[in-house]
Amino acid sequence: MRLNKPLGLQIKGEGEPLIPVSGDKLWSGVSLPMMSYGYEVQLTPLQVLAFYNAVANDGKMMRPLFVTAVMRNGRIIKSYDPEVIINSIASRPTIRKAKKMMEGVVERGTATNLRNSNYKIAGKTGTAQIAKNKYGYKTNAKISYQASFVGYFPAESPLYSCIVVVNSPSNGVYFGNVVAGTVFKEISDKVYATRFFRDFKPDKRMR
Amino acid sequence: MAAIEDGVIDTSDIVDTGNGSVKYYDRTVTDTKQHGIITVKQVFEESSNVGTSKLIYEHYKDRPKDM
Repeated sequence: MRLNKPLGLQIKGEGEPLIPVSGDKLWSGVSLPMMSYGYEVQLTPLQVLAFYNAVANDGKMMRPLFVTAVMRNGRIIKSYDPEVIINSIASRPTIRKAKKMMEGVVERGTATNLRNSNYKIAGKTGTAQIAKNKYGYKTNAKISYQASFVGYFPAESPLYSCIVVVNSPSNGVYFGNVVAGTVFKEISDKVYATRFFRDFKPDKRMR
Repeated sequence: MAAIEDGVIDTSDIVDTGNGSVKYYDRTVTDTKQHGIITVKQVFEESSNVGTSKLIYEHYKDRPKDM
């Protein structure tokens, strides 16, 4: 599914994905179950977003594009087109099922607080404990959390994807849907109110 | 998603998340809520750590490289 390679961004300094395989020095009996829900794995938020964006895009993974053109004296001297990283990260039926489950997260799962009558959001919440080097997950009996929400909208025919990651939110409120989900919704509401369907013309190479 | 792609599970399959806790060697995986017996779809929607890890462990423990 092309999760183990960097995206190859226009901006230097992208982090390398870390996905252990059995036989690695750090592999243990608990690695597989831990990795299955996101621990022992390291990806940048943008790498996670590119993956979910690919799901929204019916499997086609695009390279995140920061610069579309370079201008000199008002004239375009170089332009950059959207690039496909991989045509399909999974089969059509799998993508369809993943989308349905992500819609379910907002409809009746961990992020029902994002449900609204104007447009449909699909996504996944993340709530993780953060390890502090030698102290492990608990420092002074206090656990640090990371809350996230990644998703896209409108769910039926996606135009936008977005990821919100909040590091060490206040200890009382740390669930992904509350901390990061509300930020996501503020952004998506604003986009919905101001830009929806109006000025976005999907490039045919992206479809 | 990889397990669905591999055809080893489907969204309507069921898994017993019990009382929200499962042990692998010295590590205990927990859920914040008790979900009992639920479908794969519900595991995803409710973000059940127990459900996810049980499904993946059961199907890939003997061939972790395929995951």
